[in-house]
Amino acid sequence: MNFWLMLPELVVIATAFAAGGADLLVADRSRRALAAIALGGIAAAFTAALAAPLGGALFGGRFIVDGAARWFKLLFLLAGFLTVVLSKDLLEGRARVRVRGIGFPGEYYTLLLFTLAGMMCLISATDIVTLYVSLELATLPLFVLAAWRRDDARSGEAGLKYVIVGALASAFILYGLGILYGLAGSTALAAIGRAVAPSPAFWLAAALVLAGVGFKLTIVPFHMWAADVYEGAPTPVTAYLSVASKATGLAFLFQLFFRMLLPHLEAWTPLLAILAATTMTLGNVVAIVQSNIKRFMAFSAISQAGYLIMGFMAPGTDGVAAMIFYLLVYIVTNLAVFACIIWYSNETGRERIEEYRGLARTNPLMALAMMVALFSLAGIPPLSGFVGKFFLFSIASAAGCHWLVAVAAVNTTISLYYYLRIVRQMYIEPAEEDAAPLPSGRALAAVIGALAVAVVLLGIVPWFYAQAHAHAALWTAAALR
Amino acid sequence: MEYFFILVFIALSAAFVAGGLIASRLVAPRRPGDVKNSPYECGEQPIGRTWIQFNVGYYLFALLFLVFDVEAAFLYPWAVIVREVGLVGLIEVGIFILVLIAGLLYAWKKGALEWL
Repeated sequence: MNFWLMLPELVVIATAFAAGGADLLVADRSRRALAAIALGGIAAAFTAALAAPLGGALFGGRFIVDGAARWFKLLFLLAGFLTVVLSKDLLEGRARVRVRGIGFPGEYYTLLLFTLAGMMCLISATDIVTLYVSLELATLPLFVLAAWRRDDARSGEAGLKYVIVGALASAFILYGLGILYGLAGSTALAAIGRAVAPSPAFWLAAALVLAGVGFKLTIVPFHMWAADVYEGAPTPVTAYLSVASKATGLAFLFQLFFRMLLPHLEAWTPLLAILAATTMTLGNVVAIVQSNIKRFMAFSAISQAGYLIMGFMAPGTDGVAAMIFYLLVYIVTNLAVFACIIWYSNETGRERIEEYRGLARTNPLMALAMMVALFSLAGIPPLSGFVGKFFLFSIASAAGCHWLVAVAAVNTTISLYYYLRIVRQMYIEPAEEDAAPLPSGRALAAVIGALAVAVVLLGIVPWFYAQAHAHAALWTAAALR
Repeated sequence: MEYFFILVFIALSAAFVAGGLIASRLVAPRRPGDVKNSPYECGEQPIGRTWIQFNVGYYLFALLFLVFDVEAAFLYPWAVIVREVGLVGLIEVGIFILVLIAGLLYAWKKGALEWL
């Protein structure tokens, strides 16, 4: 057996234990070392995932590495790395606005790394037991992270709501998987897909699993938890939730539809189209009236999930490539916005949209980075968000879902309005009288700059989409086999 | 047609639960008294209100107890087939216990075993 295939996961788990153990040993003064351990481990895992052979199986085919699996793993690790950098200031008490009741940084990194390990195993699993356990590993620590501000009632509320709704979603998935196992008599995803024939029990099972995944991916009507949890959780955790947790949902959908139910996917596309349309519409319409920027980003993230699942309209290499490329774009862009939000809330403690006014006068570079990222989310050419949306829309159009493309186009226009609301506050509204330029930490500033550049580069350098397409081709070749 | 039985099953199970509740409500005699209405505290005289805050230490101890509980639940099936699974099984159980011990050590070092 070739254990090198599993090296990225093993490195992440080892790092998780190392970060937790080091928290016991180092003095409070040298907490920086913990972030360094976490960052080093994630970077090592990233390298290992890049270097690992593309294609191969472990444990008798229960653990597979292929194109899309590697792509997802790299994205998870990227999101984890950036989240650690964004969390550092808050956890080490370097935020200008004192936040009381923040838990130990070592535990934070440990939990974060455990979720990463769960996500990475999830996309490699080919067995419903492994799949479910990985999903739990990826989800359970997030409940704790959402409640990380111990003295803050909102954070506690976020954690509680998340754990209750998350447990419900898990129960749905477990029940659905149980019925599928009963129908097929096997726990292997591919064997289930071959064994089941369409029947009411099968539709019920698949619908239960889809509902459970809908919670993770914040598909309407399973999105209710998102706004409260996003608002209450510490901002770096919100950033992580909005990208990594959503990527996990998409990974689970990939597992469900491509590894298991590929023969039946045709029958699901009308339902998925309706879900996509309602998700993007509701997310967009509700985002217009939000005043808290974290709630605003929650609804923006909901509508982005709607665009994301449009790729399922054409379940071929092009559809997969469009989805995983848009996922990359979404992670980079959303983290760029959140990096600015985290920086601003660390420096001022402000989270309302109108409190961003005059940012372009005081901190023009930060405002520029945020504007670029917001425009990319809205899909303005030549930024990456436009390119990603273009591929998704053309997939849906080629599949004959013209009404869906029309809905998506209208929604993009609506979204432009509310993304511009923030830009207007930053650029047109005057700053307050005594507003002085806010300082920024070097690491945070570097991340914001790098992400803003990446938002542009992803849109104009075709290499990234070519990579996504190559990975998608490997995946569909394996899934269709 | 095969799903008709599931429908019957759902109806029967709902009737079973509701029937039990309704029957006990109809049949059972109700003679409440001071003693019967007081909260049950293992036969002791209740002291004070029941809505009090419990020391958070109880939760920590309950969590740590759970660690050993799960460990025992896992070790018994292993003990039954220890000869069949051989060395590989021994190593796997060792890893499992090591992970649990790491958790216990962590809690210990963080002072979770101190009673406040």
